[in-house]
Amino acid sequence: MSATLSAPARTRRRSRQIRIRWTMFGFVVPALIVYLAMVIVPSLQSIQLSFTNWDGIADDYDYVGFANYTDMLTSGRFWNAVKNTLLLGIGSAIIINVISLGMALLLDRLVHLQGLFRTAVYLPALVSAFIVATIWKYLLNYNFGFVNTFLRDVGVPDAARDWLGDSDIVVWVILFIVCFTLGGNTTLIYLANLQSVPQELLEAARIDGAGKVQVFLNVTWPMIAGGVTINVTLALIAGWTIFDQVMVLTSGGPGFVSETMAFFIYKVGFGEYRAGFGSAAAVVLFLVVLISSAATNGYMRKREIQA
Amino acid sequence: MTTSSETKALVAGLTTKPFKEKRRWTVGEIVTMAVITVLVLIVATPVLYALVNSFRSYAEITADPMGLPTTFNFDNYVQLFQQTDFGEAVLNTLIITVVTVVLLVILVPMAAYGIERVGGKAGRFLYLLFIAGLMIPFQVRMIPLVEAFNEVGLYSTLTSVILVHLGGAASFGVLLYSSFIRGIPMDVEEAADVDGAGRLRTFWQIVFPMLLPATSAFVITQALGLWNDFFIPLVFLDSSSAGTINVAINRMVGLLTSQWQLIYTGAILAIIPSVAIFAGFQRFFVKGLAVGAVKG
Amino acid sequence: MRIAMTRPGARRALAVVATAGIAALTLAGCSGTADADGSAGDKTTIRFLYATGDETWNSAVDAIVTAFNEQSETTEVSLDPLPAGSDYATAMKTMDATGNWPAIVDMRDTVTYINAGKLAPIPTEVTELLSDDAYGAAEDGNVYTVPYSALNGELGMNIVYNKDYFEENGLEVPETYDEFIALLEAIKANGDEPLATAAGEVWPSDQLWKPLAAPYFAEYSDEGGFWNAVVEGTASVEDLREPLQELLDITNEYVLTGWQSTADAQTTTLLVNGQAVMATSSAGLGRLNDINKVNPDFNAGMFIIPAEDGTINVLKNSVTGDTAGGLAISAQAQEDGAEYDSAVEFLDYFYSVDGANILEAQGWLAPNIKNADQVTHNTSIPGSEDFFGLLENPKLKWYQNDSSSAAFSAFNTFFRQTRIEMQDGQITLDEAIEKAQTEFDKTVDSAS
Repeated sequence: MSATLSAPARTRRRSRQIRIRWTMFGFVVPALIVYLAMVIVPSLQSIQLSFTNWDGIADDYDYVGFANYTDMLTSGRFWNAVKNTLLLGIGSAIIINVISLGMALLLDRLVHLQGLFRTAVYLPALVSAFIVATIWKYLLNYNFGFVNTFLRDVGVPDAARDWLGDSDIVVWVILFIVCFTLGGNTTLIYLANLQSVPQELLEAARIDGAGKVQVFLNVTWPMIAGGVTINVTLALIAGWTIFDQVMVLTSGGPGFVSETMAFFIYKVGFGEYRAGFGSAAAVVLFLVVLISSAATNGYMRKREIQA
Repeated sequence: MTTSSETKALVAGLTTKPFKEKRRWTVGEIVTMAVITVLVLIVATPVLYALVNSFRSYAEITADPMGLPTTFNFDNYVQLFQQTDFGEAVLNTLIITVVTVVLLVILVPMAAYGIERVGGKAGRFLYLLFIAGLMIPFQVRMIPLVEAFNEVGLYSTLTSVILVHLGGAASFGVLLYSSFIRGIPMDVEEAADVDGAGRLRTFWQIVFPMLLPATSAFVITQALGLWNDFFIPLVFLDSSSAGTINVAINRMVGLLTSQWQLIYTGAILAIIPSVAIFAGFQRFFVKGLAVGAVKG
Repeated sequence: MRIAMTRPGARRALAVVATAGIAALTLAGCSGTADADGSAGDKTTIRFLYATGDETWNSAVDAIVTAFNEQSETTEVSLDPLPAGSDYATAMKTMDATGNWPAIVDMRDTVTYINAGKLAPIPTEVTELLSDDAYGAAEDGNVYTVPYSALNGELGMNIVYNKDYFEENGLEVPETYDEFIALLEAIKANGDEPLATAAGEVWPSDQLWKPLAAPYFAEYSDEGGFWNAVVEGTASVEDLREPLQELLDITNEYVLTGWQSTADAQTTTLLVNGQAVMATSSAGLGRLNDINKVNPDFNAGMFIIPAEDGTINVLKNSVTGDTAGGLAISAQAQEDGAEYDSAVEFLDYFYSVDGANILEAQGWLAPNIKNADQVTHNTSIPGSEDFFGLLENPKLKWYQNDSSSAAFSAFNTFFRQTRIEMQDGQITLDEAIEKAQTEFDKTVDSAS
């Protein structure tokens, strides 16, 4: 277009375009300021703090180099937290996505009243994780909780365990509670994805004689693969920072067994006045998130392309 | 990326009932409905348990945690508001939710629009800058933020919670809106070709309405997240504030006795607004999610 | 709904309203100035600002102020209650900012206000009514706050038990540690659960630990406390090996399963339902109140685990005059001589035997006054007579154990979690001692 204009017109257009770009930048500025102040700057400060021994209240602190990091990496407590974080993060991401896809498939089969059931399925997601965990804590009590009382009444008293106090199973129980949902947002997103698969393709496959499973694998799955990647990645990121359930159900106990990194940072960095140390742990958590998200995304994109 | 007309067709296709609705009810469908119902009830067990216990007194619950209510009175509901500052906590939660969502809707779509229209390397850099925030867990910025708010005297105020949430939601918002805006052709704006403040009006009057599906999905997911948030208010509001709903309930899990009857009642009260609003707006929400899901 | 009024009825109603109105005006005229802190007729009116939230405290304040007003000829105390938690500290700041100090205040953030000169020293005529260790002086030697409740240290950390069960089975309260173990054995032999304890929130794990460790801590009481000795090197975590072993053994042998995830509040449920015969507690009368609320027929009793020689070692409160909370007289009141005298008069009454009796009658633990033996304790709640009995037990010995390091509480949390790990069988006793010592050296020692 600019080729057909005269030189002065081109310059006018160019400077106008530059002005427009600056105006557009102006649009970004308010959000940018908040974002920088609330996210970027504090994150950088955390990195700086991780090299100090600040306690969170005193006015001054000393730089201790990598001491916080070495302390952490040599402490069994830290690695236990990493293990739990990975377990809860990866476990919840996978399980919740499987559940969501399953629920979406179920909902998709409905011809009548789909809206009603969609709402019903979404309802559990409206309750906060904190409230759910608070109630579950009581339900899982060894001596008088609903779960054990039910098991004893039904005749399998041996199945009654100390769900939140048995160090062998406590982390799995927390994982169970995190995943004890019908998927919420993720389910509805998968439902939308499923419904966007063109009918003709499905019909064609069925006419060709493909069974239900084959139709799913060969037609549906490739079409929703993109959505799956995003959902799993987002679920992973959320999984790394699972806090509410850990805090409410076990406070990281018994002992230190069920601590996760997010909880560890809050407990030690915040609650035990070791801000420098907590910041170091936060930086490590960030690295874990970064690496795992990149890896998962890469892996899934590859499979997507293959699909 | 799909064009806006394709978008409209997609939305229409996704949200109108499938044309086969005239079909008869099949056994498979009924079985599916039954399965879904059972699943929903199982997952809703904790909520049902809380509902039942919100009608029992402290003595009843402590003596027999598994018992059923003997009377249906609303004593707990009354007591919750009279004897604790739960009412104020609800108000706080409401303020935080509404103010944050309003600010987000004002700031984020505009920012995403700006990022897309700035274009070039600068645009890409800004986009990545915002998206990077998705991968920064809250814990990474938590401690410096507490200190910063302390220094400016905003610690333990609702303002601090609102600002923290704004920063956190900006990333997701930019991600969501950017993909929508990419689907809006520039000729619409060229047609309203004006400079400066005119651009602002162009955005709000022409572009923003086209982003409605994204906005509805954004508003509902953020509002829900804010209403149910526990960790951020826990960190930024200390005992000089009534806290938010979750924080208030957490405080009822006390030192030597836990006020279970109030905890369960508070839990039920916290859920009611979410359910009511969702049930009312679910159509818009699903529409927004649908378009977002396919585009993403 | 409309109430039809017949004419005679209407006239009568009007008459009633008129009379009421006249009466109200007359009374209003008699009640003096609208000014709260001023003179109303002959009496000086002073305000008493306090935090609500504890129902027992609310009724106690009400009772004692009413009684005081009735017997005083010079002073009228008017109550200024504020909701606790969110508003109280803020309300105090507002009150300070607007220069609106009441004469008597339930203090928060004491140091700040002392330094700002907002509090008046409490005269000796009041402090001499109190036991010597119930109050402390601030840095400048003056006493600014006095307690409004008994400071009984960790007397409330004890074992609550089912008295009926004891009677039915011929069991007695143990007087030595060996008797305690025998008691646990006897209950176990009956096929019942001897002891419930809670560790769900981590801090209740102190309830079983502290009484076992107390005899060992007590040895260092005169030298500044056990933990300070560890810093100095005259003691170490290894010295706690025996009580740690005891803790481990009792947990393994006699404690009700599920303790790892039981919350302290749930011990009431366990006792009341007979799922355990005894339970640890750190809430003193509070636990008894709770049990009584849930099951008024439950016959509860209380005792503290004794040492081998029968001594009952209990940690005492440290009262530092700088940071202690309590009642204070405002400097503003001091400027107004009459208000100051009224405040002193009220405090004198508060710490008199009559005052203590009134507080106790409401179920509140009256502060430790010198004439404590003349005070009638409220023993209506089952078990409370045991609690008060502990105070008078000749075998009771107070000890102190405050760490002077600010990093101690972080270590303490770690220590609790480590003990739980040990009790849970995740680590051995040796590992626990080593872990605790290493952590102590890293955090407390390096900070001191």
